[in-house]
Amino acid sequence: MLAYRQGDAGAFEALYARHKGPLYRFVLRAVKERALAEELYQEIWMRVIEARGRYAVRAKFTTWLYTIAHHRLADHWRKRGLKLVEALEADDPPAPRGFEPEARAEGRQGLQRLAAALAALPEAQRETFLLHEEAGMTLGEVAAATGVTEEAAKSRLRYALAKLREALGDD
Amino acid sequence: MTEPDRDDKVTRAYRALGGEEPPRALDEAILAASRRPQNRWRVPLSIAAVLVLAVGITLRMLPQRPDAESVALAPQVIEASKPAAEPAAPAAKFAQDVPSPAASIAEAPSAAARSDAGARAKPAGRSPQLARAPAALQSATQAEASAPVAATAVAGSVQRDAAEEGRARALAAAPPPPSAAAAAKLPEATLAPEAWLKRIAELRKAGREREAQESLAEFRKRYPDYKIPEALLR
Repeated sequence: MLAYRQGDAGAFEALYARHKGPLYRFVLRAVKERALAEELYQEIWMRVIEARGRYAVRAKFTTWLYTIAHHRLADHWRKRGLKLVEALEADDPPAPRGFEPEARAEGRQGLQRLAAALAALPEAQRETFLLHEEAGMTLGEVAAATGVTEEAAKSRLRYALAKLREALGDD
Repeated sequence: MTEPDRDDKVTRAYRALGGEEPPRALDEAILAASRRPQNRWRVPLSIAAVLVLAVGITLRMLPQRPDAESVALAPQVIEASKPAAEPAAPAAKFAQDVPSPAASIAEAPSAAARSDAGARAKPAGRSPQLARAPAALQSATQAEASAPVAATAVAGSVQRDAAEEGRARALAAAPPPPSAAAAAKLPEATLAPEAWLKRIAELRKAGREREAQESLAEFRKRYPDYKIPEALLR
């Protein structure tokens, strides 16, 4: 990112190539709507581009990137009248559209249940799981990106894993 | 990854959900945006604009100081408006500080001002401050009271502002410095009111009655609202 700040466009392309898949899936599985996910995903990268002049190395780029993503998602939930920490669980949520094609094609009930369970997680738990699983962040990094204590992040992740495990039939 | 909170089965199942990627068009749009040069002047220009705005507003909110021209005009206003009263002068002065409607109003001698004409307009040799300050509090009040007499509906609020400003100035005004002539004639004129009265009492005590009377007369001109002890008036 520092190289990009100095005007090296190739540096940004390398960063983008490394992070585009995980970030895209993180956003897609957080909001569960492809069109909305694409819009948010583009906005997050635009914020990265706009912030290049102010970028300073205070944490890993991954943490910085997902902090921006977290804030953008928080704005999104706020506009929708939801708070990240208190999203409700549905008893029997429908499978999210983003997951359907793959799950159906493979015909694997376990994956469908996992997808449904992931979609049904409270926002904060799902975000924590995705940051941990998709972005490969440690609990400390997850805590930094989401603005909570490491204990809170750990607790959220444990709850999320327990529910996903249960969905897979592995209690 | 050495985190204890990891479940391999969940991880494997999650990976099997698929690895969606952003559409190519989206990639291209983002990469194209990343190649656009950053507008380095946007932030400095924004800051400069905010500063200019803030300074402008601050300057507008500051009370306007009398400038050299308006101070120089004050005695002329007294002269020109004879038999206009001295209290009208501050109103005229303050009116010069505000937009034109008030100036024309202040130049027109009000009925209240005329009634107090004679003696106070006399000392034309006084400094502008001398002309303005001694009765500033009173004149400001009078200006406020007499303003509606001459005021039009449009100018009313402007004149009220001038009167309020006059009152504020009067409250802040120090005892007025005497003119050079008055100071030469009456050395006690340079004293504070209390000390001046004490000096008058001393003159009386020393039998210098005529000097005491002159000094007292000058004192009353300078401080018309000052309550003079009965003992000195006898």
